[in-house]
Amino acid sequence: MIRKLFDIIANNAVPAVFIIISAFAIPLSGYSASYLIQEMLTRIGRNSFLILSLLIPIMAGMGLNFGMVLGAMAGQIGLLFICDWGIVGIPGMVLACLIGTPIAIVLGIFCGHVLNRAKGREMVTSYILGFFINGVYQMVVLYLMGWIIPITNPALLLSRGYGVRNAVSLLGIRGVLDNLIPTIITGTQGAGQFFNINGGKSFILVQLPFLEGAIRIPLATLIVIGLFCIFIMWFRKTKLGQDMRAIGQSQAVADSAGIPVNRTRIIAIVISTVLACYGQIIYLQNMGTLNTYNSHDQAGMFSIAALLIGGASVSRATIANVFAGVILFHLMFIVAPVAGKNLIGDAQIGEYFRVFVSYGIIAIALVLHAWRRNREREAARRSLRGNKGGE
Amino acid sequence: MEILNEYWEIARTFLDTWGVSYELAGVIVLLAVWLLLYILRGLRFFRFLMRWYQRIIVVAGLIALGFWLFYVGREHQIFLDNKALNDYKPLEQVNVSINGGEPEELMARDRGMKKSVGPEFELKAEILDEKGEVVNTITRTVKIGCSKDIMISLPMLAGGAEDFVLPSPR
Amino acid sequence: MISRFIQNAGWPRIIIALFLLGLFIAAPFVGVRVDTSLSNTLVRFGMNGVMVLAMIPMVQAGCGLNFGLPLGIIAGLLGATLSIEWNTEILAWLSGLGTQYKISWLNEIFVTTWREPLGFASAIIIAIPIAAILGWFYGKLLNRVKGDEMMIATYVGFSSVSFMCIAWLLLPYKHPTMVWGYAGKGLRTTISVEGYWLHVLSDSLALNIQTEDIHLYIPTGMLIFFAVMAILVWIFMRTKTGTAMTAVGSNPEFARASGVNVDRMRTISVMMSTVLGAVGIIVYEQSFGFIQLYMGPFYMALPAVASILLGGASVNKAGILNVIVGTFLFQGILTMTPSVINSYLQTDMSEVIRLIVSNGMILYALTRKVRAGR
Repeated sequence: MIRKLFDIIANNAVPAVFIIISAFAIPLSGYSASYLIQEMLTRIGRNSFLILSLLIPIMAGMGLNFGMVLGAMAGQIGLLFICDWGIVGIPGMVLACLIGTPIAIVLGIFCGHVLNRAKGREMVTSYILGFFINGVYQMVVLYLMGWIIPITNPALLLSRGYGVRNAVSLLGIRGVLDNLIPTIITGTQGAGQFFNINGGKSFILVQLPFLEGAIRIPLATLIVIGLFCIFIMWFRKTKLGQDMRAIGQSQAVADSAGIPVNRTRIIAIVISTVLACYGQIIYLQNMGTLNTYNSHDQAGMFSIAALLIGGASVSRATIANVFAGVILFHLMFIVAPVAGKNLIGDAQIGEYFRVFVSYGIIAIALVLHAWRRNREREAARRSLRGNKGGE
Repeated sequence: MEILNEYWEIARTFLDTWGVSYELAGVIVLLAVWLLLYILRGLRFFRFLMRWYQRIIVVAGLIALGFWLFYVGREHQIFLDNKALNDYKPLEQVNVSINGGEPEELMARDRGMKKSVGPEFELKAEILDEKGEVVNTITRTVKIGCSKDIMISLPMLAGGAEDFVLPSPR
Repeated sequence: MISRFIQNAGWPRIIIALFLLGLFIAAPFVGVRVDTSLSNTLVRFGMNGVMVLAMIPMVQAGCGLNFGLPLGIIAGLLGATLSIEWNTEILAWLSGLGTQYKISWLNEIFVTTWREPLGFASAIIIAIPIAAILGWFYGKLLNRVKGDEMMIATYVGFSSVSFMCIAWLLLPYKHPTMVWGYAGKGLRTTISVEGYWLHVLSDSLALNIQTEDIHLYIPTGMLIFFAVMAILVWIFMRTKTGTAMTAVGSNPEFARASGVNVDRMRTISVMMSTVLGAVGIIVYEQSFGFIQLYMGPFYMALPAVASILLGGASVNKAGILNVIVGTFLFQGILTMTPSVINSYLQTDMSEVIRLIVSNGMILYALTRKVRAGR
């Protein structure tokens, strides 16, 4: 009974704590509801695709795929090329995806092979692998681009003639997906005229009388994310998805059932890497600037932290966790610095606080998972001994 | 490549006469190819070939899609030049707009820059005299293709020369 | 014979050793002095050696590579900053002792001659208990999560560093050389140790030959300090506790059966590792000249981990020799690549090479001994 209660608390402790923190911090920050809703919608559009890419390796029992930064790097290479060629708009985004896909597949296959050699410690290996490929990525972007790999646009290159600048403007594809189907929710009539989007052309306008201010909705991005959620739900039911779940339960059982374990694990990682590549492209089209040497690092850490805050664990994650995680994590993200400033008088503290929370939450989730798993293992061992004693 | 170009020209004449947009035609062709493959798959004989066949088709299709996106999505800088060139005198004032956007006013010996996306754009130039009255309005569809930036010599355009599209000054 | 050597050493190590050798051979041709490079390598060896040494206990006790080294580093930083904050008080107390016991020469020694070494010693003395306490909690935590130590250690390190970022801002430090001038509170990002204990180890007994032909600098004191620490660890690993620790690492079931308290051994190893990390960062700072706070210690575990792996250690076996060889190779590459490759290619590739070498090495170790792993 007590153990059950403990389990329930342990399973939902993280989201609960965040709801409580947010409940205190929101009034302290003094933000209006419409501002927060707007920010939440933007951030759901921006981040959830990246986070969704983590689900499939978790399904296959490979833990949190810290190797998703590989996919993010592939996406960034695609973006660098379209920037150089000057391809803009939706075609630019799609082309970046097309260029990023083969790179992500190759990196994913590599990552899968490496992880198959390090069974049981996939997470730390994929984490270090991310650093390793980051080194290779920096080598390619900083030394080979503009020298061996043709990049000619002077706006991209460092003044020495090769290597890509630290900050690259993605003005050509900025917000193209978000504003593809311009949609606005307003409370009062005519509030939409303050938004000059789509060159003043028509947009979908929804009016809700109880709302103050106006909210822009990245409808097309949300549709893409919705389609992707449907894809994941469908994928769970396919043969491959069933195989992955079987492997996630027990590799030995799956192997004796004739499932090619190593191959399926590689496929799971490849899918995750490719999706992370698309996720990073969606993320960056919203941001509008590419930090060539940092964007991917942050992508991995924040996505994983958000997923865990949404109540997922290392071995179980659902689509609902993703959205709960995005909302709770980014709510804290927006609110913490202001709340910190209002409370202590120093915005820097709020800044550090959220970094601390992101790392701390990953640490706690990992500890809880390992702890629970060890307890289960202990219990299994004890029951085994008990049976033997009874015979 | 020459042959491909020829086929493309033929196909385009057909499409233009029927008034079908190129995008729609592309979708129809893809659907047709898919349908063909779907039918072929039903035939036992082709089945063992199918996997490779399909893969190659898909990869080729993706590469083609890539090229098409490159073609359609490329942003070009169009330099507008109102300087004397090849005996054509600069115009007093000319208002140039591209694809029906904001017009840019260029006085004599001015140089301006506009951006357009895609392989061709519509150029509208209103040529004004000293009093500021519109003398002549020229509307042209200019093809850029895959090249990055171009320059347009407005005096040559106004003078009726056909080679008013020049390479980019950079 | 050769193939067995290669198998024992592992390809990456041989490639990196040959690479380093190539760099040393190529150095004179591109106008880089070998003796200067060697001196730099030795200095950096001494700076980082103790932190690499901190890996041994945890690896031997089967807790894996200590990616949580930043925790120990934080203890070291606390010791270092507190030793500066209380520098006057400590010296006053010591000379007070001299007055009390009527030993006048003690006064002089404490206040003038030994001022800097005493500051350094006080930093270490303050840091060790903090590190031991943090290490105790950290060890208890790692005992609960057997099998996942490395990942959790990484994030324990990260979250403690980011927690301390808040603490550095809020802790009531007062010393004017350490806090931000305009606010009067909150520690600076980098604090100079000049005038406190800059180069106390490096410059003691140092061999410094700067003539026309030779530019040689050997930080003898620092190397001796490292040697002493290494010997202490070596002796410890051969005591009863040390052998029990090794037994826990190589076969926990057997160790438990023979009456060793597994969890206790693991906790001791983690505490030792954390304490060594704390001492290591203080040694590093006295040579480097600055205390780096805030995000400074964030990635400091990775070079240390990479070094010991480069020296031939695996995820569950490490010795003193691994530390010495590995630190020398790793720091050698870090010193040589910027100078040699930069003068050849005119670009600074050292950062990228550091990333690839260190993480490639860790990756290699993690993927290699699958059968020996749990």
